[in-house]
Amino acid sequence: MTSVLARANRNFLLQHPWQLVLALTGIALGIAVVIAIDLALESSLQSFQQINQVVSGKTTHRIIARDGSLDEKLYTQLRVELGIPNLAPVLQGNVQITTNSQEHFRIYGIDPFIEDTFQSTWQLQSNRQKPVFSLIRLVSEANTALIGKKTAEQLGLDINDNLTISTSNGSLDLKIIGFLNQTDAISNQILKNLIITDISTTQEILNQPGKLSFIEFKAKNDKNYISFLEAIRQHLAADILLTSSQNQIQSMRQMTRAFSINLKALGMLSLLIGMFLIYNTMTFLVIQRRRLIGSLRCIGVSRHQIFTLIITEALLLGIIGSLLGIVIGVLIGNGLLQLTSTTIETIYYQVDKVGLIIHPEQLGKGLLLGLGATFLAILPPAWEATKVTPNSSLIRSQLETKINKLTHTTGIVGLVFVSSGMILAFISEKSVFLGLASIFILLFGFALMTPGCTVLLMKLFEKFSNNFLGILGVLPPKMVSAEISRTGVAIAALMIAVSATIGMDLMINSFRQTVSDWITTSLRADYYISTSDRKTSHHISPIDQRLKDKIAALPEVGMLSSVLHTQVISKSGLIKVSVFELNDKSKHGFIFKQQIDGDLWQHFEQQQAIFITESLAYFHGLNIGDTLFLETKKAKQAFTIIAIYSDYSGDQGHIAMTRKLYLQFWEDSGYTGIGIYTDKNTNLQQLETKLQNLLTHDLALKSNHSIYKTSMEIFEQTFVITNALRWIAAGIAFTGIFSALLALQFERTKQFGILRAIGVTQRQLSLLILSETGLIGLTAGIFAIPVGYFMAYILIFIVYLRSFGWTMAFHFNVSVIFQGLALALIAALLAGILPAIKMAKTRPAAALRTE
Amino acid sequence: MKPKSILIAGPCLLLLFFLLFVVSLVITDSSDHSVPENSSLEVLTALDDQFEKVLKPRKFNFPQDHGAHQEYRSEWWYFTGNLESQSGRKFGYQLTFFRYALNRNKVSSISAWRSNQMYMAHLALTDVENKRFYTEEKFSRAANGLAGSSTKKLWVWLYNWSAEMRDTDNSPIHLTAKTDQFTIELLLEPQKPLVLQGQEGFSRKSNNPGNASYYYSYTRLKTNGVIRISNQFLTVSGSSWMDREWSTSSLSPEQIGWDWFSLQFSDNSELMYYQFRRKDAHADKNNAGALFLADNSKIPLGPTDISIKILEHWKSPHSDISYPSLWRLSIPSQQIEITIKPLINDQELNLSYRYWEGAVSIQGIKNGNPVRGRGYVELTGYRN
Amino acid sequence: MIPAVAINQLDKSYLEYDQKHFIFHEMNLNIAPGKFIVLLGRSGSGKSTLLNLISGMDQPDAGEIIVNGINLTRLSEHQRTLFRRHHIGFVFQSYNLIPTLTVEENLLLPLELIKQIDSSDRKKVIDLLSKLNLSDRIDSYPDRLSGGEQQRVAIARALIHDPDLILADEPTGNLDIDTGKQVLELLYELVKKAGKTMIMATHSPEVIGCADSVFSIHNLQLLRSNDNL
Repeated sequence: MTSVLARANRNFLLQHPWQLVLALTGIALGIAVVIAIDLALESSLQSFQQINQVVSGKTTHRIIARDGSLDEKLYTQLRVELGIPNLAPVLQGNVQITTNSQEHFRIYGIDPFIEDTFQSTWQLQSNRQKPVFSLIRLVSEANTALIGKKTAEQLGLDINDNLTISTSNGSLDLKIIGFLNQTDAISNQILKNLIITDISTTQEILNQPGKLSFIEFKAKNDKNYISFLEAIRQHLAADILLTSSQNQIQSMRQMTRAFSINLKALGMLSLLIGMFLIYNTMTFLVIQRRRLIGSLRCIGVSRHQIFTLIITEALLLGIIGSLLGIVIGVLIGNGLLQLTSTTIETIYYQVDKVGLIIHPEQLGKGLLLGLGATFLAILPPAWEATKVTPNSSLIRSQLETKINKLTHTTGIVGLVFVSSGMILAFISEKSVFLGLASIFILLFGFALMTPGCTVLLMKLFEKFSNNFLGILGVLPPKMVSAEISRTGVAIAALMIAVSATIGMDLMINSFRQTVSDWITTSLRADYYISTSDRKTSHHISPIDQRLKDKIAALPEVGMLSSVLHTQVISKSGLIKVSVFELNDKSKHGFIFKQQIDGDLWQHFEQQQAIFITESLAYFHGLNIGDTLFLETKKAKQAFTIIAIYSDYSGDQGHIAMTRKLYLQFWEDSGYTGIGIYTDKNTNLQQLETKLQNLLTHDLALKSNHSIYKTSMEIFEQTFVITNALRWIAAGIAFTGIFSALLALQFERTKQFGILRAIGVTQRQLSLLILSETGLIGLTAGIFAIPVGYFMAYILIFIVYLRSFGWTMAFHFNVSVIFQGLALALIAALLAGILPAIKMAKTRPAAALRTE
Repeated sequence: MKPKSILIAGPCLLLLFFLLFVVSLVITDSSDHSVPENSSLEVLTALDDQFEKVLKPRKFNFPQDHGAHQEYRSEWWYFTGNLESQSGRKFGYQLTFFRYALNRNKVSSISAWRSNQMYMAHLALTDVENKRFYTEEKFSRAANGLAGSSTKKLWVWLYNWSAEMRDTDNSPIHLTAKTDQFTIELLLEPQKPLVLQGQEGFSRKSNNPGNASYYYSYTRLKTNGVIRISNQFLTVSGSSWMDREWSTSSLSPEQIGWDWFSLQFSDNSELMYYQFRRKDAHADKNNAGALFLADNSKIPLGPTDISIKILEHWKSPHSDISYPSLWRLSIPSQQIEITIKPLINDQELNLSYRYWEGAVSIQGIKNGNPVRGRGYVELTGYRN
Repeated sequence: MIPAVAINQLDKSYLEYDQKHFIFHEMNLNIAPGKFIVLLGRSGSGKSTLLNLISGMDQPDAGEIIVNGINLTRLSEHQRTLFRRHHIGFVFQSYNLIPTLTVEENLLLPLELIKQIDSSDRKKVIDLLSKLNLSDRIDSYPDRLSGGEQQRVAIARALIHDPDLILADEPTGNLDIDTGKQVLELLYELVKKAGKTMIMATHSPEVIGCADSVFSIHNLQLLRSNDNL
């Protein structure tokens, strides 16, 4: 391409900085959201793997107890009696530091004397000495620790300085004796909020003598491998599990897959809307340059050269926009990380608090995605540009006539998309991915149908205006349909954003209502005593029988119920189990998924029978009447599933059984919660004081109101991220219609000049423009309602069911629809204000001169 | 023309920012040493006045003295031996348990892992026929049953490596140590009673008071058992030597290392001798040893009684260190004139600290008669 | 008698690279009602600017423009717009019809700006269109019409609301000679018949014969090159 040719183009772009900025914004925001989600999610998910590398290095297997806490004697037994080498004991927990920060840190207790073949990060810190010697102070001096170098710098700590942490026994100074540095496999972010101490120090800090969280194991991959592992398994008690680290990572990925896909879909939605923006801008730029392109063609520039010109320009925009998006994405990602981690922690498992881990590949992926999206979005306008004839005689109206035909075609194609989306949604069985894909196809289909529907709707408005508002009133709907190629895209973009908002609002509302009903039904007692929340310590010492007896003896207490949340081992690994002692009131706390008969409770209490949650049933394909085999102290036992009930506390599902049944097959490990039921005329204040006096510091007393409140707060928290992303998508859509309207009105400068010439006042002109944008918003809003409804339906009955195994009731909410309409209208009007002012201010004489 | 220049400068700045950002991610200081100097091996050998010192002879009490003496800084249980399979393949082995006190006093704790005692064990096997030398080391604290020693009988262990006298005094000692590559499983029967080295078990190492150890040995232990090298199991028999020593400090600054000989002659006598190498290359006055005759009598030997000449050197391909590899030892007063030769040269232990410890054969003349024998030599402090 | 257009000491300039270029300097003009004035001049000589100034779409740097006794320079932008909608009819070189409105709607629009439309207005439109031979085009959109037809619609639009002053800026510029002639004749005839004042900027000499006065722009002044009266 000649430089003069390029310059002709560039000058044009620079003369329209607004369009340039908006195109860049479209690409940048779309990419930023995708990148931010990717970074935040991966950082949360990789933290497990990477922390494992820091703490345990190259392990292959992990020995864990079903209740999360191993007896340290097992380690000695494996090492001394069985002579198994390459074992690493680990005890982990959470502590709060008080030196120059109030952050929570993860503390890992390790044994510096284990084999250095693990090559864990703490072992690799000294390249001059055997790790055992460089880390001997961890053992030789009590309360010594290693922390990340960057973390130390941030906290202003140096070697031999003290890091103060608060423990259950008051505050404690940990002396920093060394730093952990990043290695090839470990970024500094992973070492954030991480303390490594000797196992003895950790046991003291967490007040967990005799306990290990797990034992890591590095097996040699030789021909004896399988039999060797089998030999170890033989020696493990029934409640102890040997799992491969690979399995564990995979199952964690598997667990959070649905969550990841849902989030990533939101990212893609943003990119999709961003693509509208790019398409819109590029179309504008091509149309604006018809004359320029025509002139170029006249002087002998080939079609191919024109195409290259446009594509090069767009790719340049794509590169700049994507780079910008990457920078913004990293910034948003930092904010998002907190949210993803919290959500994963709420729904799935505890994640290590880390900073944003940025892999160059992820950024590269973002760049490619940005370029790809840009390329796709500009292909149609670029192709159109090549069809500009040299004399540039193609006038606007002819173009519009063609577009009207196109509107028909796209409408039909859209209908095809919508129907295939619906079919896909229902035939894709359990796939979350296909469920979401069907939403995208539906959205795309609806977007394609938008221009056609808009034209029809505008005809209606026209009729209405003609009768009541006169010719000035007819102009806005006429302008919308006349420029359907431009307005259609803007309306479609806004429609998608608003329908996403409506869809998600309906879904979240339905979900909230369902969860609220569920909690209200479940909370039958007046007070609940539970072991403190999991943030303080990994392993919680359970409530013991004596405390329960003391509570039962209080005169104010009518009845008690109890629960023990623990895990048992099944063929597929650990399964959560809730062990209940129920009373007549708490039995009403179950919401069953099927009609129950009168004998249900009798069977539950007297047979080897269990209930399971609907998530467990969904994911494991279990049904009433099936049997589940569980490892018990009396070998493998069969348990019959007699009911399926609702539970929204996690998506892995769990089993419910009576305490009597549990104690028959497993060791007693106390209670994790006690429900207290009072009689009608009890003095609750007095009871609360008495109960508080009985409790130790690691137990919490909560009323059912406060539990309800906390639960709903957690619920809201898990949707913060969804909400945030939805608003970002709406923001991009807003930018989209802003850009479209700006471009549109800019094109109409001359037309407005004529109107001004024949005596239309500035105010009338502003009103005209605002009416048009208002119509655009209204149209988008009206279409968004059924589309949002569809989306909510698919989200609730297809995507969420497949993701979490939860069924919920569809709660229709009229206000959501009005909010959606208002959102569309306000967004469009806001976007119309600037062009309206700008156009009104333009001197008619100047406006008439533009071509 | 301002807006235009902003439009051009803006993206350029962003690009620059992005590049800086990427570069800052790539270039991060991963080379700095975060471990302070003083947390090294010196922790284990630094003088600490808090520990008891070996100043004078003591009364030994067995079996208590087979167990650890935690008031002293370091201690070891040292087993070496020469073995032969039924088909005549020659092997040497070494199994040593070291104990180091990290602190004088144990801190009281709710954690069973809190310990001030660290154990280290070295295992070596010399396969003479195949000229192979296998080594392995283990570490643990003496806590939670992972490592330790008994005061009720001779019993020291680290993980699944152990040396245990299962019954009363002078009953067989059971040695067992396994690695992925090789295993020893041996029964050691004392053929001579335990002997106290030096002055009634008080062994002076340098002129400084306190630079000494308590030291006793079983000089001849009939050995039977099984060894495994990868998948090959061999029944072996032979003769072993056990050394027990504990102290708080031993070497003085001018002593840079020592050579230690434990030799078993074919006439049922044994020789133990150690000599220090000094920076000034003079003979050290504290070199000492003893000859134990077939009738269990002990003849102490001092530096003037013995002459050791190095005839050859061998340079280790692993460390480039030159070690003596052929000696002529003569004790004129006892009419002993022998050469000592390693069974194979490469018996260098490249573990967390490096030394040479190997099986040797003896040939020469004693009291006018030809004499043969086997033994072990330890060479420490050699540098290149 | 109040002059249809009176211009006193008019200054108008434009800026190019901080350089002030005068278009008119201390220019004066007086046009009696009902006259047909032709403005001659090369492209860029300021003919269109003058028409814009007279219609109130542009403002002078100094001096007065008085149309039908209304001093435009003393009016606000809004007042000038209202003035325009009542008193001015515009005919442009490139017709400038509103593409999204039908021929009828294009003609009704100026009326609607002045008052509530009733059936008499529709009749007026139909009458005017039939005079212009466009009766069959009443529901067509402008882009379906030929150039001559469009310009005839534009003329109708300029006259429909009965303005005092018709401003025509190169009305035949985009038309072939024959069509141009027809359009011109039509325009002249209608304006004359209605007794309106008309100022036409053009560089086609054949119009000069019909004009009451012919002016050309020279050295920032208007020169009366011929007075046919």
